Amino acid sequence: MSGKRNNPHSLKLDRIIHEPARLQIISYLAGDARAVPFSELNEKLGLSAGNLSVQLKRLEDVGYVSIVKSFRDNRPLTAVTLTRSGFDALQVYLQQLESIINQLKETIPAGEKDKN
Amino acid sequence: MTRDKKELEEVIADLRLIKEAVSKSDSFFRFIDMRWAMRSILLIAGLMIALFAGIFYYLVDYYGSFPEIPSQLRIALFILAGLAWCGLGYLKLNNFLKSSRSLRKDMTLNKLFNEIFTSRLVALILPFSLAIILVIVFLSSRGQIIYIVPALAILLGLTFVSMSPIVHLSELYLLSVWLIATGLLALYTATQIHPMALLSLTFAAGFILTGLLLYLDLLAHKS
Repeated sequence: MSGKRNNPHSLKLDRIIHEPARLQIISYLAGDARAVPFSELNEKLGLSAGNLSVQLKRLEDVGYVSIVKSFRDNRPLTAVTLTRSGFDALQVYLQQLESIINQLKETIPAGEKDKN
Repeated sequence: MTRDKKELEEVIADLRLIKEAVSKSDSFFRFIDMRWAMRSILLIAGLMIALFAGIFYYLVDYYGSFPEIPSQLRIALFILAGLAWCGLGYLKLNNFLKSSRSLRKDMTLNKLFNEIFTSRLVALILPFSLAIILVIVFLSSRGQIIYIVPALAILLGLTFVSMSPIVHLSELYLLSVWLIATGLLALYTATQIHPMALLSLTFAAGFILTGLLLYLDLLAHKS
């Protein structure tokens, strides 16, 4: 399973990342090196707190994100960071997606007239 | 070319752009615990600078001037300082190796150097390093050695400001501000204040403060 997941030329996409909400989370985290607060993810991605918690837990379970819970001004603060394996998985996922689209392109016969 | 094929090529082009954007965010420093790796090094470096500055301050005071300190004592102290810096360098390397092995078990010294000294970091450090060497050579040749510490503090402060976004250590900004501010102050007071006191004010205090900040940050996260 993990072998296919890590193979950039595999035509089987990493289902963990492929789910839209999780892809949104991973993509957002990839662009930000700091630990991103849960509230920021909630606000920017437009996901409900419940859904975000579930997706983050799933990502944490496979080691793609790390979640740190602390307190700031006596208020709980949950911060999320993308791990090295999460970052690598995103890169592999994008590569796999490109491979699939390339293969799909090959199946379309050349020279066929534009239907429009 | 069919419309479908053209659309797919556009999707591939978009994907390549996304891949490029993602790979630009890839940095060794963002995935290792820089705070853990740097806190002891900065604290020890600051304490070491303060210690050696104190010893030289005392000796200059005792013997009247720097050249009057017995040459054997001076050489011994310089060797000791050199050894202390080598030890610190070893500790730094060890901390980085330990931290990076949490990401990659097969991390070696060679791989570590390749990860750290990327073309982006080298392109940033090289001009500053050249400027630092030129300033030291220039000031020494003109007999203005009292300005070396302030100039070094300002130039290193500027280097750290530029490095902060790459190494993902926000505390480095504070160290930079400290070095630049105290460096400027030292530049104008270099003739009135003892060079060792300036060294303590700029580098020693700056490193100790940053090291302590990193320790406090760790404690805040633990509580």
